[in-house]
Amino acid sequence: MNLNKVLILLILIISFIWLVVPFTMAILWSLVDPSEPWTVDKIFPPVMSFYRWNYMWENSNLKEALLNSYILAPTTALFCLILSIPTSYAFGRLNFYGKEIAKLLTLLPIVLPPFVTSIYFSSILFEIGFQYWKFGNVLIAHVVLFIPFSIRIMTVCFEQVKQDVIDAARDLSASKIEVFKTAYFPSLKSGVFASILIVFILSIEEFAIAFIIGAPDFITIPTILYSALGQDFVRPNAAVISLILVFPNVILMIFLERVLRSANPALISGK
Amino acid sequence: MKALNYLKIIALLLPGFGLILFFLGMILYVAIFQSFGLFNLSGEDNFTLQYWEKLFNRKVFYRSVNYSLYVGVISSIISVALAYPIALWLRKPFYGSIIINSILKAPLLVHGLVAAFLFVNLVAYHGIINQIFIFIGLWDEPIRMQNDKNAIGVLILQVWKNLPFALLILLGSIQSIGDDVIDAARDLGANSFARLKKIIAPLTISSMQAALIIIFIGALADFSFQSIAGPTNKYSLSQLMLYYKNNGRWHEAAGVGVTIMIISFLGAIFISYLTKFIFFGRKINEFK
Amino acid sequence: MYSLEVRNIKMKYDNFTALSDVSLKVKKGEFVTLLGPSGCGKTTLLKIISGFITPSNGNVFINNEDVTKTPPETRDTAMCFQSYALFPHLSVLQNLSFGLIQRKVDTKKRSQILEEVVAQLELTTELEKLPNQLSGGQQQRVALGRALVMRPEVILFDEPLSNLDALLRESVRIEIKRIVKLFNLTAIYVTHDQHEALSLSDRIALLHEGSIIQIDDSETIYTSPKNKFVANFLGSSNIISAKLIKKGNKKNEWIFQSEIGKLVVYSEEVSVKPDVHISWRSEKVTFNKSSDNKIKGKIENIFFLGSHYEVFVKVNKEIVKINVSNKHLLNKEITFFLDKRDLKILED
Repeated sequence: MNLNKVLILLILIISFIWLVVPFTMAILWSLVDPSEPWTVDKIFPPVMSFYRWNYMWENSNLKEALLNSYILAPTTALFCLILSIPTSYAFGRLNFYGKEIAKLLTLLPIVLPPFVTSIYFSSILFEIGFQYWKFGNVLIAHVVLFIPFSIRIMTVCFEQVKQDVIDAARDLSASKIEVFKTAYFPSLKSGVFASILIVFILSIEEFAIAFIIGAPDFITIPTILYSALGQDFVRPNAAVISLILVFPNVILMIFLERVLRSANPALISGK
Repeated sequence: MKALNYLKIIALLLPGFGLILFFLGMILYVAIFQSFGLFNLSGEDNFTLQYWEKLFNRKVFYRSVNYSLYVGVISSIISVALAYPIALWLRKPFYGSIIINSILKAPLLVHGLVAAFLFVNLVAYHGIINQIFIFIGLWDEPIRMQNDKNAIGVLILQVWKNLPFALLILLGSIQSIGDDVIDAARDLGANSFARLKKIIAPLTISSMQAALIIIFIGALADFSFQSIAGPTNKYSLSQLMLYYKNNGRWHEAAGVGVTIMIISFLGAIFISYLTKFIFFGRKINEFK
Repeated sequence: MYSLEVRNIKMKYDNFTALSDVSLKVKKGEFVTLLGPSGCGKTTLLKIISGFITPSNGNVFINNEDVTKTPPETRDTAMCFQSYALFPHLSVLQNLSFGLIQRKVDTKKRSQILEEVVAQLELTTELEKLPNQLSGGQQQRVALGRALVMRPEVILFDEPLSNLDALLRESVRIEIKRIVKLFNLTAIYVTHDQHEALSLSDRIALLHEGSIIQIDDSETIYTSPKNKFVANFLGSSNIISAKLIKKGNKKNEWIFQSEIGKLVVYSEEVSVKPDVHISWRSEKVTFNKSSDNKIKGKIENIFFLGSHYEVFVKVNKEIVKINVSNKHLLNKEITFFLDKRDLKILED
């Protein structure tokens, strides 16, 4: 019992160093007013204001990046979901030769290093002369990269549809639509949510493809963060972009956790 | 009828599985052939080994391979080694375990680039660590810790980002081991270390392998951590690949890309065999 | 000199008492069964003996040594789990030798012990197999063997037969008894099945709501249940309330008035309370007219159970259950007799 308390305390202290300190630092840095720099001898910034936030909003391509990211992510999520459903149905409810291998191969995009994928993807685009519509290019790459997650989640959902419920519904002479509503819909509902949310988050965060295929014409939040951390490194500006990138994710993930926990524990464990 | 059935299945697989297979097949195809001089974007296609030769003659190539392997191996081992005891501790729910679990998994929500930035903030010349140590008077002046040459910074970031992932994978499979099995091992005299080595690790070996392989490949092909927090005198393989690509040297970039894939593939096989050997290898020699 | 002693064990959880003051002494080589309905605390007691649970109060002694604080790793007990808990990734041989390797028994001694146990349990041809390649009965034998090789001071069984089908259950039961006696082991056996308990045990401890209600050898506990709970739990009993009228003419004879008429009961007790419950076993009816108590009733229901008929008889307002083997006796009305020695006065 006591050992447990010590361990809990230890984790709390570590996570304090692990999470709280870095984020506090980022918040503080984002509030540094340019009128007086934050030098090494001061524990807190001498002058604090929202100047940086305003400045980034007005004078950088942050707006454009936000717009791009938040159009790209839901579009990717929707495409992934729609395209994954037939395959998931086949994986989840039909038996055919080579199913297990097909399931395994589906995971390939996850295992392949994203930088390799994106470079050859852009090379293919060059080859077929399709490299100019950046949004479309990034969208296709994102769909290919993240559809394994949708397929995985939806497959589990289809597997969990109970055959006896389908049979019972049919036995009670339900129409095809009724069968779908009573037998399929309940277990698919949470999967649809989970798939959209996960792909959305992954797409918002995705860096390699956006950077290699999209940049410099098509910018997303991760790519401007990268340049803010690299060639035009201004710490307070980078802090602002970091926080903008993190906070929506945290909220979405908490939401996702709720959806998953309330609906379908097997989705998380992936069994 | 049977043929029709197959057509139906193929039609169902086409939009999802087909899409993946098509693009990934293309990518592998292009990568491999481009490294041999085909798919030339700025001239004639020519099958040649010269790009591979060029690569093999460059010191920077070997240094990148070594460096990326170093990061990949160390980060995957440390992440999984740390995740095991934590997962064992969280196996049974206790008061506060859900909160601990969420705190430990929080880094999953933080983008790698943000993590790198946060880390750089801490260790920078003007970062809080320097500030604190100067404030308490332990150090006279700031110490340069950022971009350290042993890539400790990159390793810390990798573990920070991958430990929660390993925990996520391991916790599920550790929780699925029956209490009775672990109790039986205790009852037969196995202490905690023996239980971990002889029962828990072998029973969770596929999760362990999955975690090791995915973290290894991710860290091997790392670009963002390396370019922000890594040593400035070293290139990771991804950096090297990007460097060639940005200079229009697509074929050499392809060579590096294929190298990454080959190392990933071999690494995965090696990890599978090694873990199997460690936890199942030595047969006990009993009477026959 | 006791192999196992459990002294004043209490186990309390936040708002629930699993065991309240349990004590038990078990001699070397004795087979004691903890019997009771689910939730009576029998498994908790077993886990306290094996060391997986530390009791809130009280002590456990093995070979007169206090082991209350000894962890299961070093405690001289070995357990056969209900789920068998075989290590699924290890072969039968590796499962069997696991404990010996943990105890660092040297190779020569190890193979000697293993050879004996393997031969006794007829596992010679299965040694290289993995547990999931074995049948249920074989898995059970491996679990038993894994505990046996430890040569424990006390061997513990946690409902070991509950996952087997009826036929196997009997043969494995015989096997367990034979092996335990062969190796002269002290055994604690947990079950909720009275047939197992009666057939296996030297003594049965009947648990209810966290305490031992009665502990006796099989026959005594069956024929002389202490109270209503024991009478109901073991076998099928009829229990009726009765009022003492007077002491009988003969020695140790008491006469009661009950719903089913006047009853003569034999009891060696010095005094008897005026209001009691009296029980008798359904099978303890006779049709011998010289018996002490004659009872007449109307037959309500008859069930054929193979070896006998189970007959529900309405006597006045009370319904009693009797076992009858002769079909000809089953008319609308029935008259049966109860021997005064088969009637038991229950403590409340």
